[in-house]
Amino acid sequence: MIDAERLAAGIFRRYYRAAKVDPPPAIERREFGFVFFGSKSMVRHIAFNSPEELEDFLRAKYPRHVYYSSAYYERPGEDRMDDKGWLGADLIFDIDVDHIYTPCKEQHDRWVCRSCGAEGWGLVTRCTRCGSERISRQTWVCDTCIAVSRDELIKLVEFLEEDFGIAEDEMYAVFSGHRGFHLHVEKDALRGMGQDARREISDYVRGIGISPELFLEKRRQRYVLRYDVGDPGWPGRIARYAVYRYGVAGKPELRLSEWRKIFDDAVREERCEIDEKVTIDIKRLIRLPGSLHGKTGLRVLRIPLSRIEEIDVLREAIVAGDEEAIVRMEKPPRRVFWYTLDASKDKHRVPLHLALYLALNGGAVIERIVR
Amino acid sequence: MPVILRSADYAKYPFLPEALRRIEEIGLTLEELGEGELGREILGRAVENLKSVISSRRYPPPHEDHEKEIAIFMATLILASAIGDRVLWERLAVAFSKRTALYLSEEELEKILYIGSRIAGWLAEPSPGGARIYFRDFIEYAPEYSGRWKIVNRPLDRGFLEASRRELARLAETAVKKHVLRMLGRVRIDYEELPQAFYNAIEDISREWASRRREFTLVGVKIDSKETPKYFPPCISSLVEALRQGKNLSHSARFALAAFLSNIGYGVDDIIEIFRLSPDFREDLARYQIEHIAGLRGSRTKYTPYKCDNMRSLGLCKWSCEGVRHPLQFFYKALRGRRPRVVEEE
Repeated sequence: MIDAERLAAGIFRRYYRAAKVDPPPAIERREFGFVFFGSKSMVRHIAFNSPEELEDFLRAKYPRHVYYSSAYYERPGEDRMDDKGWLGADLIFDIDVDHIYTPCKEQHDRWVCRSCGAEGWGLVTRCTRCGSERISRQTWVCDTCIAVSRDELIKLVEFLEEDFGIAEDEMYAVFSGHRGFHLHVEKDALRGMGQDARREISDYVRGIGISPELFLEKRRQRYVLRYDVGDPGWPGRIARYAVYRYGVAGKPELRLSEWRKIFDDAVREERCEIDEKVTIDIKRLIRLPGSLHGKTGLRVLRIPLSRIEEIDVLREAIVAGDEEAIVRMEKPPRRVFWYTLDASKDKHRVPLHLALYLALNGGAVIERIVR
Repeated sequence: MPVILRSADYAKYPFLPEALRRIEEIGLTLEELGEGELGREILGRAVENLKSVISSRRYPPPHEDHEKEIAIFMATLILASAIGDRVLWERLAVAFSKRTALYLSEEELEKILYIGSRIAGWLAEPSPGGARIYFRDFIEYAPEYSGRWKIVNRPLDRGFLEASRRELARLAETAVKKHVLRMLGRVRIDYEELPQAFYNAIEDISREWASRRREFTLVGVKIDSKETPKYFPPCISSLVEALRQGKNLSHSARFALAAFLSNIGYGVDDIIEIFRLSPDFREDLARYQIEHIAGLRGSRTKYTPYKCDNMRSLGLCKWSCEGVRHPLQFFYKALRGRRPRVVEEE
């Protein structure tokens, strides 16, 4: 039997020795946080004066998780948040399949009710047997998860480019290392924005707060849309959706209730599912691109926008090797990465990178590695 | 198009950098404030200004001599800064921006844009319907985030949106308020140089402010678990109700509830009793988190609950409470017998 923690620690150590981890811009203004192997708590309020200092640190300590602040501080190493002297923050978006419906969760996510012991597949908010909300979950990532969150990411980029005028070279995407993507906007003009302004941007991409009356004009007893398919922003999105959905060209006169239905459908279709808390928080720690994710062993992968559509995310993020390993795990995910496992068996012959994920995220036991 | 400021503009907008440069020209220094005829007049007017802000939330109209008005404005800021209470600063900034708003509402478009760019770095250019303004500047200074002020309800094109002259004037009003707050935060006083008359003025105003402030900070809430919930806003009541029904609250819902209760005076044990209803209740964890929120642990910051806009974004609010921007505001209004009107949204 192989100790998975030690195996992971070894892989992480080799990775950081060889890897070139790009430091965030203005590294001396950032706070860092780490979780080390053998510990569960985060060590934070760490600051580095130069990219070399960070590099040396990663090499020496090969942490299990690495985070840095989207915020810039005068004194990032201070223990109290109030003493750090906030100077601004990058604009961050988080797309995570936890927040999005995907058909594949039935294939890999498991839940156990802590009240009655019932268990099952898929994403549930309450126990299907006793109705309790005391649920433990185990979630996994597969190629479908990536495809679904990639679609959301593409929508997000469209919002940012077309509506907010953020240029391609002012932002980049990051594979979070598990079930989704982050989008970082590094633009001087937006750094100083407070929480209110960031919440407005978050609400905008989520389509929150749309008032149909403001888009409509009364004509006789009915209403017409004041905007055209060519108009920018949500007004144009709604107009295009109305045409696409109802095949109505020109300016249809509809009842307010009919319009409300169109608006609801349009928003559901066009909005982007982000986790708003990440965008609103101006003092958040986020995973450092180039570091490794301690629950998956995958690389937190920086992705230029030009590569979003073609990149094979999971394959590029894999760090551990392909040698075969024998793992023991009851009811493993049936679909994980791009592999299919037989959940009725409890011994599985899988490549090491998958064995590591099963062990770190699901407590699988790695029995041995086959050369 | 160049914008020409006349002396009358300096009296209306004494916070502009070019206005402040004028004081240097008259050569008035801090030591002279309150001394000599000019100094006494300026200090006297500054004291009047602050007293008016304290008693009636009104910032008086400008002195007819624009150079004196600039000096009076600065002296008012210095006095408020010396008293150092942020609640007073906020009240001063709001009152002053309201006075400015009267002028802005009559102002020509170019001058509004000029003021916005000088004090808040606005990116904006005139357009047929008003101006095209950068979204950052619109959302940073919008007076509220609903209806027309919410950017989802406007065509937003590559970062810019159209705003009317009136809307721009309203945005500038908030910009002035924030600018004044920034100026207050930047005032540095050399207390050794401060003349006696100035000290007296600070004491005078401090006394008045202290007695006023007590009126609205001490509402004298007696915590009574049967009575106080009657004054809760609907968002908080619904969280308590959800707990009662054995539902599991999200992390942000828990935070909102605990911070609210802590702010209206519930002790840690009172709050724990409420969370005991939670299906995954664990007293040790709950206590730790509640003590944190109440400011008894960690950074020792006492947290305030989310304001209404945030509650809405987090999906914790589906109501509209008249004239309320913060759940605590609802509570204090209701407590004084002025329960806000509540409309449940679809």
